[in-house]
Amino acid sequence: MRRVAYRLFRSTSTFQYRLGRQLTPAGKFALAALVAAAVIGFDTNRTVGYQVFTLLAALLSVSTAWSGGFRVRLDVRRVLPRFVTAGEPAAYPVVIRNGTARPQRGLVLLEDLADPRPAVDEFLHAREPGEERRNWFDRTVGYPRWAWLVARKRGAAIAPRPLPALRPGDAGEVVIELLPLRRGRLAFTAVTIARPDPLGLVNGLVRVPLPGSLVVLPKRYAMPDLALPGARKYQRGGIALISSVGDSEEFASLRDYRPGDPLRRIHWRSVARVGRPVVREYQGEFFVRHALVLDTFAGRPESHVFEEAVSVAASVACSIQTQDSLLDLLFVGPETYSFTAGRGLGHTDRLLEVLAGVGPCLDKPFRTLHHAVLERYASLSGCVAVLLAWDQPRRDFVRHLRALGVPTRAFVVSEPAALEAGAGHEVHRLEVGRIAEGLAHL
Amino acid sequence: MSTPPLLLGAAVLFWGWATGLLLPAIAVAAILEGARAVPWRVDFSRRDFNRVSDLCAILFAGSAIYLFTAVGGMRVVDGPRAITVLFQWLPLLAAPLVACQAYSTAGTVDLSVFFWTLRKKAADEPGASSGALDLAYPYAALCILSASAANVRTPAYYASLCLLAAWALWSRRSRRFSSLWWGTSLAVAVVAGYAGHLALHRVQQKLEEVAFEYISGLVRRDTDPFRSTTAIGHLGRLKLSDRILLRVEPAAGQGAPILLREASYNVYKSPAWFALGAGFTPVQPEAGGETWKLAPGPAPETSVGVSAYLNRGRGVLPLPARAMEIDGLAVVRLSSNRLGAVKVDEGLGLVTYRVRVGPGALLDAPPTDFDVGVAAAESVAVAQIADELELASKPPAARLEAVAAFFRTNFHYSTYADQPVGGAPLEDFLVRKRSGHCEYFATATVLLLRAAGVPARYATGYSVQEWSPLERRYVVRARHAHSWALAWVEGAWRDLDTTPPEWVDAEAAGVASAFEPVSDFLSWVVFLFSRWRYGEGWDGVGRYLVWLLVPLVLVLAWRLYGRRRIGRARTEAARGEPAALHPGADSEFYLIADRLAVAGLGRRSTEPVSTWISRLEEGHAPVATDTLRQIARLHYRYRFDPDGIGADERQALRARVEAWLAAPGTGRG
Amino acid sequence: MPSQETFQRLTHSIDTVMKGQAVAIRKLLAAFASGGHVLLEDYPGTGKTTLAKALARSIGAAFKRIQFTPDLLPSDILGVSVFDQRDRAFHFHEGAIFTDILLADEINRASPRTQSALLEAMAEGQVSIEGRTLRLGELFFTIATQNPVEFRGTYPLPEAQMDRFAMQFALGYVAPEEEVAMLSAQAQRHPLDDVTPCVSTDDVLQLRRSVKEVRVSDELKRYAVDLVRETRTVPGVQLGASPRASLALVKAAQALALLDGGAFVVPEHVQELAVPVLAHRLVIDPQARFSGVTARGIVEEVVKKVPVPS
Repeated sequence: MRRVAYRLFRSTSTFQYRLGRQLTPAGKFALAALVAAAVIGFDTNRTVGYQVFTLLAALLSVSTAWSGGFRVRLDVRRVLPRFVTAGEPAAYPVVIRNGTARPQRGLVLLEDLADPRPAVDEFLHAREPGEERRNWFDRTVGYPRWAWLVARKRGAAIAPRPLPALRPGDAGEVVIELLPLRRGRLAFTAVTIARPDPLGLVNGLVRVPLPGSLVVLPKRYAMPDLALPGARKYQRGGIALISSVGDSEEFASLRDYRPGDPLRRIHWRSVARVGRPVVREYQGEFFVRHALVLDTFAGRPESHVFEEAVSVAASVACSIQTQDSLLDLLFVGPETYSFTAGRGLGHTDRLLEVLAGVGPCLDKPFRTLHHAVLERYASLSGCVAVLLAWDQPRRDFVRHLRALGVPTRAFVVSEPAALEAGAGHEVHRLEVGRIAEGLAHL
Repeated sequence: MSTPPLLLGAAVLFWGWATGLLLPAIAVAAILEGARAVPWRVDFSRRDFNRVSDLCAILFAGSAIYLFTAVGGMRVVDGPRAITVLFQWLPLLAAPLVACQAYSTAGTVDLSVFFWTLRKKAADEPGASSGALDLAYPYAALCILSASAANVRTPAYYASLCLLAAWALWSRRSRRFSSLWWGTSLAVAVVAGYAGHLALHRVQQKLEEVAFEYISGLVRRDTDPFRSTTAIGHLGRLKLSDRILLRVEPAAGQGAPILLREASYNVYKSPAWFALGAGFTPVQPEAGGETWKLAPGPAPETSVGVSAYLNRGRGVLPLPARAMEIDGLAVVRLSSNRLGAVKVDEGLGLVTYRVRVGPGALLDAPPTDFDVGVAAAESVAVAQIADELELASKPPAARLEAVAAFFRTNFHYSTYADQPVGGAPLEDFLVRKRSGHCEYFATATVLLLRAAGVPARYATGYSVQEWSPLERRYVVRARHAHSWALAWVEGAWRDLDTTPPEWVDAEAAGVASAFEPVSDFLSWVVFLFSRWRYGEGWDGVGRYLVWLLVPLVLVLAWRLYGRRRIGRARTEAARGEPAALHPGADSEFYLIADRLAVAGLGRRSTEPVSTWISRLEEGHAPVATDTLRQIARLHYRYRFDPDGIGADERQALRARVEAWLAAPGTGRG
Repeated sequence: MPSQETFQRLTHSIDTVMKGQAVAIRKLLAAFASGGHVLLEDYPGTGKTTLAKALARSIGAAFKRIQFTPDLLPSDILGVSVFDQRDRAFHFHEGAIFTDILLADEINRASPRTQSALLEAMAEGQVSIEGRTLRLGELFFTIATQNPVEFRGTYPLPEAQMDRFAMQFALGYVAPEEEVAMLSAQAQRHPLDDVTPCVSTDDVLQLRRSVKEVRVSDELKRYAVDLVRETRTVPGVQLGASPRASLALVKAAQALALLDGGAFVVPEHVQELAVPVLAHRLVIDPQARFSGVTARGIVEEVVKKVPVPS
């Protein structure tokens, strides 16, 4: 039953997509008016709506006849930015060069993204959140599930853009506005050039394959700066670490010169006073390191709660001032991953790119993350945990960390209905759908 | 509004012309197009739009209820018809919302205005907007489709439609093609559309002819608008309803005619009467198209006024006996037959006419063989009774009286009961039961008269009995449907009604209900409205309706006027300070720039000259770029050197530019 | 020597070493002649050191190179007073900054304190150390470099300090043909070794004086200011370019005009230098950065928006 439904949805969506591209906005309006006229003019004795129907049908047919023979050769090049953010509009230029011998006017540029439709298996096995609440018909046929899967995979909304008039050999530039809808990688497959017919109803289409991809960072919320408590801790690593990150000018003490000390360490004023070489000694390895722990144990491949948790983690990563501290992102995927960022904005970029690609972990238990964090606890000054539930393993994790003396702030992201009973002062609760409020009230 | 100027107004006027609501259309068109002329706009909030949308919804619901339920039982305004009228009114009902959009600062309407769920969502998240809709083009389309519901069957509709479509398409045409292509495509589409709709109409007519009986048997109860047959029981069923069908106004100072006849029949074959040998011939109207003479000779002044509903504009006219002329009947085709039935082939849903009755009416033809025959089935019983009454021996006038007395004394009236119509109902009636309703009485009378040698016909129609104090005229209800006999005596047809007079009350008792006054009132209101609608002029209901709308509109306008009005942001003519005259502003180089701009090779405003020249080179423009560069160098010296340009260089610039401009072509040199 | 010739000789001389980098050489010389400093942000191995050395050797000027490491101290750059036990007095040993052409490699790896020591000195043209003020050389010119790939352990230059550099540009990888030619050229010996001084320091100072005399019309000054002002109002920019940027733009445009042999500035010069001079001074809002907005993109947009006088 579902397989039949799947095939039906697939073919209808293909038809709908093609129709949507083939018709200009005026053409879509004409089609809607055609249907209305068909309904109204059904009885040709009662109304003259059938005249409207035939006129519109004739106009659309003439336009369709025009749309057949459109050929053009244009060189198209996209200049994609490094990344964009989900939910925030972005723009990028596209350079088009007219390679034909005739001036090209009145064309429209459409971007083709990767196909958002799910495969058969995915459709059969995916479970839409809240599916149990739908009525029997919806559940059997599965259209809401289909719609949800397609909406999830649809990477971005890009509106068609009219091209400027291009002389032969001339190059023009248009700015395409893009609204990315979800995090991850946005894949472009091709560019379609559309030419409306003289009446302006139906487009002739030419597809120019032009692959490209763009990283879409997760959506971030505004949140106040997290005051993470934490003492500066001794970081193992010695000279190598000092040279990479170390705060290497922490003047500790003066001591006598030992042969082999670099001459630049000699403190001349003390030499003048004391009469023998004296050297400055530095201690360099103390600074602040925080951990951002992301709970990836969502239990199902597609989870709205997980997406919001990633957004919360991204917001935290942006709000922590990493000018003079390090931030470790820890999460468990196929393996345990730890990414360190710090010392300036450039690293937050990397962190967000990593978060853009994070997926839920389905095969390991929560203990894996617990152990991974415990391995590093000694070097952590503080910890921020973004959790997906507040059940026993997670409670144990947070309490254990706190017992070890690592100040921890825990956020629990959950559905509004699924708030488990738990100590309100231990964690911050964030409800899906009202996260912005929850974060603003920290 | 996003439509080209005046297109929306034209569409509204077109709608007004087609539906006959021209005055409201002019008002709406003026309001909508006036938005272009006034410089201010009102800042409508979402709540304002919601309120206006609710107002439109209430108007719509009110009109729908009014058209459907109040008029629902009427013979003419059944379900689909009410929809048609409602649809024709739609542009007027939606006009407030579109006017709000026209005068709002936003210029579009939020989708949440139309749907309750979206409104709730908008209330939860005040920031998010659920999509904006521009109502201009949809409203124009609505006007055109509404106009189609008005059923204007002349080519004027199609021509106007094509004109409006062309106007709308012209503004959105693709600049890529020349206007010639556009015009050709449009012409092809117009012609194809025309051929298409003719074909479509023909197809439907063919279908209707073929399937007429099948469809009509399923859909319509009243299968015979032209009353070519009537079965016993037909009127009986009609009597079960209480609704008002006709309204009769007698001549001043005179009483109403008792009987209004619709049709008469001459052949009885149980259980139905047939009108044989009575084909319809058209009646020619007098000059003016509203007066129809049914019989030659001058017509008397006094007349009886009748208002009747015609189903789909077709039906027979109830007429009093000896009708000579019908006045004030604005229908397209009228025809009559020898048996005195007058039918309207193409007319309006409600007709009001005045009938002049005169002695010399010859509408009914003299009797033929049909009028004296009695079928075999009944002949025995009838002949027997005729013998009993010794009708043959009496003079013709006395025979009528005898027959009437016979029925009066021996029979009593009983209302229509569901008896199986089969067997020999008339025999039962005459011999055994001796009670029945008017159809039995009339049929028996006709047969008896024929058996007595008097040519007789069977007539059906209505009996005018009831005076309505509310309407101050006679109203004829469905239960007043009646049949009687026509007898040919002394060279004229005379009515003979043998049904016991108590039939009126008997029927009334069976059907009258407590709601009668209410439904009568509603029926009257609908009648007034229908009269106005079918072109009776502005008297009566029309004026009242307008007065009802005016205060509503005034209230709305007053509330809106109190709003803040925001001046429409004028596009600033000049940005910033006026362009100071900079050195070198009179350089001849600009002539070259203008010349190239005209040829489509102009310099972009953010492009310096040498970049522009390089771009021309790359694009293989037919321009001598080397000389252009030299000229540009001189021009730059003139413009950007604070020390200014030497006189000879200035001269050289001028000379070179002239040489360049004079070269053949666009500076090919 | 007339300035035009100075320019040509320098260009030619550097070009023998850095093939295929005509655009970069042009910008470098424009910055050099206008008295500003240059920041090169480029991948490792593209020839930044070679460029600085080539310039120094062409002039015959003193050249020093500092490799910035996280443990670099300000005293390593500026100098230190050493106590001599024999005379029991402090002698000031000058740091690497006291030179004509300074190459500060990987400037973003040093701590902010060290960075600011260098940048203050660059800005003021003098060094204040232990109560004494020492002027730097008249010809003092800094080329700072940094890697664009942000590794762990770098301190990006603070915005106020970025403003001290007149221009930022990149060398980039050369065209394949040029790279092949480079391989052939360096087969035996490095072309740098063959560079001999072709102009003197006096010629360079004369060049700088000539640059100041290049004429600029008010209209073009206004155009430069319009460009800079526009960068302040573009959405997504937290901090736009300062008036220092307008100054740098006009000066560099003068140098470029002189390089092209003109006596006055034309709009093309201003447009050509807009991105190198302005882009690195802008601070982009983090939210906008994550939506793909770049400083270079903004400046290009501004150039396309502001109408150019013609």
